[in-house]
Amino acid sequence: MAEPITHIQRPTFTDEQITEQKLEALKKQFANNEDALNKVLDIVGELHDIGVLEAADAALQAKEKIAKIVLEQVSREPVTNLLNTVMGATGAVMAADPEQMTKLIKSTMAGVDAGSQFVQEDQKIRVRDLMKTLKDPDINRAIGFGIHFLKGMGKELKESN
Amino acid sequence: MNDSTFHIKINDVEYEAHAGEKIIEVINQNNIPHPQICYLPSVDPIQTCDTCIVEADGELVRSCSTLVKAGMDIKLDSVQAKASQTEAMDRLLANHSLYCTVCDNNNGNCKLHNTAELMNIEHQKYPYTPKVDSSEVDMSHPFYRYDPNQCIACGQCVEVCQSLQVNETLSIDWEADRPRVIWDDGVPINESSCVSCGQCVTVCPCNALMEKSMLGNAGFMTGLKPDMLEPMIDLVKEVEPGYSGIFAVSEVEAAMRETRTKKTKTVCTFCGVGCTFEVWTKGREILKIQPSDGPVNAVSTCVKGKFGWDFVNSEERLTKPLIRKNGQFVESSWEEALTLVAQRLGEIKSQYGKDSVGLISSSKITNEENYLIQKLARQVFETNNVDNCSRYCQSPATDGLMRTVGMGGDAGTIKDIAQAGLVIIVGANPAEGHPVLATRVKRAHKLHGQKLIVSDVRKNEMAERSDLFIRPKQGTDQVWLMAVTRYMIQQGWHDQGFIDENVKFFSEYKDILEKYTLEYAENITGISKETLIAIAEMIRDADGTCILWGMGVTQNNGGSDTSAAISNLLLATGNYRRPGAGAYPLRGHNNVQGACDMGTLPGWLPGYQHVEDDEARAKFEAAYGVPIDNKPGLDNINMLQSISEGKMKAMYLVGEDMALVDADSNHVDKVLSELDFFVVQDIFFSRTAQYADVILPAAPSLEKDGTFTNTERRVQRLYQALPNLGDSKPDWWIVQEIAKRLGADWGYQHPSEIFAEMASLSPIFAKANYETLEGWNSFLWGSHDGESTPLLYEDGFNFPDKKARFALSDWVEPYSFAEEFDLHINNGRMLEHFHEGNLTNKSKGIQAKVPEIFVEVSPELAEERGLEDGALVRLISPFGAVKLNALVTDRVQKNELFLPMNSVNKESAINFLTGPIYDSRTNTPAYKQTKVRMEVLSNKGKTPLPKTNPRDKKRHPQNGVEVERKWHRSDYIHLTTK
Repeated sequence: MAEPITHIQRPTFTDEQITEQKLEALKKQFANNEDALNKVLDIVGELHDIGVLEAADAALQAKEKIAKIVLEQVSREPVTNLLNTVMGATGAVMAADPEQMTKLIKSTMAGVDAGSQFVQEDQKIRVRDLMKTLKDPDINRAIGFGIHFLKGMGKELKESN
Repeated sequence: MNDSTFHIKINDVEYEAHAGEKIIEVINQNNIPHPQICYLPSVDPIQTCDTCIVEADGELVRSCSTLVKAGMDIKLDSVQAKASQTEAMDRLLANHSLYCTVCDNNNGNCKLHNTAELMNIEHQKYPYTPKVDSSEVDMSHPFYRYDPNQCIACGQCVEVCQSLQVNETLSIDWEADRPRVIWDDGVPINESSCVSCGQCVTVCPCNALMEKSMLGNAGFMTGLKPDMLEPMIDLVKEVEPGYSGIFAVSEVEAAMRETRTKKTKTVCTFCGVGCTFEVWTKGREILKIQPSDGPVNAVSTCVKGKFGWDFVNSEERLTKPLIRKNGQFVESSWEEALTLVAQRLGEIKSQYGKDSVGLISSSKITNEENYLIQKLARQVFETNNVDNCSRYCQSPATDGLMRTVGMGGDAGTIKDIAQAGLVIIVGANPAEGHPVLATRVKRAHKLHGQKLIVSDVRKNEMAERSDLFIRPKQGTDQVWLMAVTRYMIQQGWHDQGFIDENVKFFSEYKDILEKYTLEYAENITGISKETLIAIAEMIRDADGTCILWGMGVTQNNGGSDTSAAISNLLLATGNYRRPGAGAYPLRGHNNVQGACDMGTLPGWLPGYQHVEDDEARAKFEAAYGVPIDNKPGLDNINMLQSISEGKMKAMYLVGEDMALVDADSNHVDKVLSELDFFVVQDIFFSRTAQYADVILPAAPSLEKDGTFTNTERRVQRLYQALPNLGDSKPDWWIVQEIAKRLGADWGYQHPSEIFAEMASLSPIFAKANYETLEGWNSFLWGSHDGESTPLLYEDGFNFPDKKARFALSDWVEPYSFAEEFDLHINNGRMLEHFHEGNLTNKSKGIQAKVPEIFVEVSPELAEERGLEDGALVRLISPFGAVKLNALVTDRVQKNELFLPMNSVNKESAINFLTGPIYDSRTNTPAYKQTKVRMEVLSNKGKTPLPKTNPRDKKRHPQNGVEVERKWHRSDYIHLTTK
C-alpha cells in the first residue's frame, strides 16, 4: 500500500560541501587542460608586469563612465563634423574609378619628380619658353587634363549648390 | 502547354506563368529580388505599402494585386517604376527611426531593413518625426509591446487579426492625422479582446510589435539603459551617413547575433493541430517563437504555442531520479534508479507472470518513444498490456472510422477543411482547443462563403460565428445525425451513385434508420423539425461537407456509435474520396495520433496491424525474437481493474497524470496506491507521481529529437533546441536503458534509427524516413504502399474489397442519475491552458490572463439560486465533490454548468466528480455524462476572471485592413496609374 508522498527530500548541502564540489569539478578541468592553462598564466604574468592588467581593471570598473564620456566627446559638433568629413571623403574615394585614380596618382608623382628636378636646376622660364612648351606633347596633355578637370569640378560645384 | 499556362516578360526575360497568379508570385517563384513590404502570402493582398509597384504593359500597378496576363511585359526597374517604389519607401520611412544596430529586431530577418538595403535607399526624403509621445508605447500586455513611433502602418498585423486569426481586434485608424494601429476602439492592449495569438507580432516587418522576451535581450547592445541608448541613437543620426553605412554596421552586429541566437525547428505540443515553428534561444533562455513555413500553420500560432513555453525552464522541473525510501522521495543516480526499476519489474514478471506488468504510454512524447514503449511491452515483458491516453479521448472516434471507412485518421488535411462548402462541428470547441485549425474555418466562413453548423450544449466562439447553432440535449447527437441522414435519403438528397459504387449494407442501414423520424429526433434531442430540415438542406447544397468532432461526442457512453453515425452520414451523402469533405476527429494532444500509430494500444501493433493478424504478428515476432500474444491486452481501464483484483502488480507509466485525467479520481488514487511497484516518468512531480516508487525525470520536446504526428496524420520532425535540464533524459533513452538492464540491448544512437526500424515493419510508413522529413517537410500516412497520402481513400476504402461499410448501431441512452443530481456538468479546455494545466500554469503571463479555475453558471440558474459572480459553490456528484467560485455567463444555459479542466487541485479538478461510466465499445470514460447538485456557500465574491481576460470583450470586425480608407485620404497621392 503506497501512500501518496507530496514532498521531495532533496539533499541539502552545507556551504563547505558546495565549495568542495565546485573545487572538485575545477580540479578536473585543470588537470585536463594543463598546457593551455600554463600558457594563460604566463601571458597573465607578462601583462601584469607591464601594468596592463591594472589599467584594464580600472577601465572595466569605470566602463559606464568611460562609455558616456566617449559618447559625449564623439557627439560634439567638431567630432561629428570630422566624422562626416571623413565619411564624405571616404564615400567619394569609394566612388572613384580605381584605374583612373592609379593613373592620376602615378602621373602626379612623375610630375612632382620632373618639377623637383627643374627647381634644383635654378633656371628661369620666360613667356617665349612658355609658348614653346605648349608644343611639347607631354605638357600639352597635362594642361589639357587641367583645363578639363577645372571644367568638371565647376560643373559639380554648380550641381551641389 | 494548356490555356492556363503562358509566358510573360519580366525585365525582358521570358518566364512561365499561370492564369490566376499575381505578378508578385511569378517574381518570387523565380527568386527575382523585388521590394514587397506588406506582401503576405497567407492572406489576400493588403496593398498598403506601394513598394511592390511595377510597370506592366506601360501602366504602374501593384504587383501584389495584379493578375498576370499572357504576354504581359513587366518592368521592375523602369524609371517610373523605380520612382514609385522609392517614393513609397520614403513615405514608410518617415514613420520609422532607423537605429538598427541597437534594435532588438536586427536579426537578419527585418523586412524593412532588408528592403531599404535592397532598394539602395541612402537618405530619408521625408524626415522621421514621432507620432506620439514615447509614453504611449503600449507595454500593457504580458507578452508583447506596440511602439506606434516605429510603426509604418503597413497593416499586416491588422490583416492577420481580421482575416487569418479572425479575432477582429486590431484595425488602423486611417482617418487619424498619423495613422497607427489600435486595439478595439483604442483601449490598452491588455484590456482588449486580443487572445494573444501573437500572429501580429510574427508578421510585423519591423520592431513596432515585439515579443517582450526579445526586448533588451536579442542584441549585443540592445540591453543598454536609456541614458546610454538615446545618445547613441542620436549620434548615429547626427553623423548621418547614407543608410548603407548604418546597414553595414548593423549587419556586422546581426552576424554576431547569428552565432549566439540558436534557431531550431520544432513542433508545438499544445494540441493536435501540429503547428511548426522555429524556437529562438540564447543559452537556455527562449527569446521567441517564430513561425513561417510550417505546412499546417504558416505564420499562425495560438497563445500557448507562441508564448507558453516557460515550463521548460521551470524550477519545478524534475532533474534527478527519485526513489521512495522510508516515506520520502530521495534523489538518486540514474544507475541506482534504472537498476532498481529493471530488477523489480523483472522480479514481478517472473514471479507473477506476463500479465502482472502494465505499461501506459503518452500522447505527448514522440513516435519513436511510443514505438519503444510498445516494443518494451511486447518484447521484454511479453505482454500486450500497453495503452495510451487516447483511451481517454479519441478511441471512440478511431473505432467509428475503423468500422466504416477502415482508417482511424482525418480524411484529409486542414486545407480540405478550409475548402469545404460546409463545416459541421459536433461537440468540439476548436477556437479554444485547436485554435489554429479553427482560424482556417473562421477565415473561410468570413471571406469565402463557407457555411458553418455547430452542435454543442455550450455556446462557444464557433457557435457564435455559425450560420446555425443547435443545442441538443446532452448525449443525443447520434439521434439528430441519424434523423438528418434518414430525412436526406427519404428526400432523395443522398448520393446513390456513390453508395452503389462504394458502400455496403445500405439496405440494412435504412432499416436501422427507420425509427429516426424527425418527430422522434425532436422529441429526444429537443431540436425542432424545421432546424433538422435546415441542416439537411445545408448538407444537400454544400460543395463538400467536413464534419469535425471532439470530446463532446467521444466522451459519452455512445461515443463510438455516434462517431460511426457521423461517418455514415458522410458516406450516405458522398462526402468521402473527394477534396473538401470527410470526417475529422480533432485529436487533442500533439501526438495522440502518433501514439496510436506506433502501437501503444492493447490490440494494435505499429502501423495499425492487429495482433490477431497472424502474418503481421509473425513479422514482429521475427524482428523481436519472441512470440507475441494473439489476443489484445488490457486497456487503461482494464489495467486499473486488474490492479484492484490483485492480478496486475506493477505499472510503468510515462507522461500521463492518470490520477487527474482518468475519470473518478478518488477511485484511481486508491487503485494506484495498491500497486506493488509503480514507475512514473514525467517532467514534473505530478499528482500521479506521488504514488510512485521510482520517478524518472524525462525531457520535454524542446530538449530532444524525434517526430510527432498531428490530427491530419502528418508526421513532422522536431529538433533539439536546448540541452537536457539537470540530469533529465529523453524518454527514448530511458526506455532503452531499462530494456538493456532486462537483457534487450537495442543500441539505438539516435531516434532516426528507431523510426527506420518502425517504418521497416509498418507498410503505411514504408517511404517515410528522417531525410524525407527534413526541415519543414512532412509525411502523411494513409496508403499501404507507404506513399505520403494527404487525402485518404482516393483508391477506395481500407477494406480488402475497397468498400466502406455503414455501421449498424442504434443510439445509446445517456447514463441516468438520481434526481437529486439536477445539474449537468460539462468540462473542456480553455484557450490559454493546456489540458490540466501543469505546463501552462508555469507561465506568468498566462496565469495573469487566467489566474484561477471557476465553474460557469447560466444567468437563469444564478438568478434561481441567488448567486453572483465569484460566489463560492460546492458541487457534489455521486463520486465526489469540488469547491470553487462561480462565473455567471450566458455561454451556458439553464441547468448546464461548465468546469474548465485546467486544475491540478483536488478541490477543483473535474475528475473528482466524474464517474465510472464508459463507452460501450472502447471503454473511454463518459466524462461528459456527469450530473451534480450545487450548494451555495457564499453568494458573491471577486469575479474569478480578471478584467484583462479577452472573454466577453466586444470584437471590432472589419473587412481586413481596409486600404481604401487610406486611398481616400486627402493627402494620399496615388503612385499607380491604373
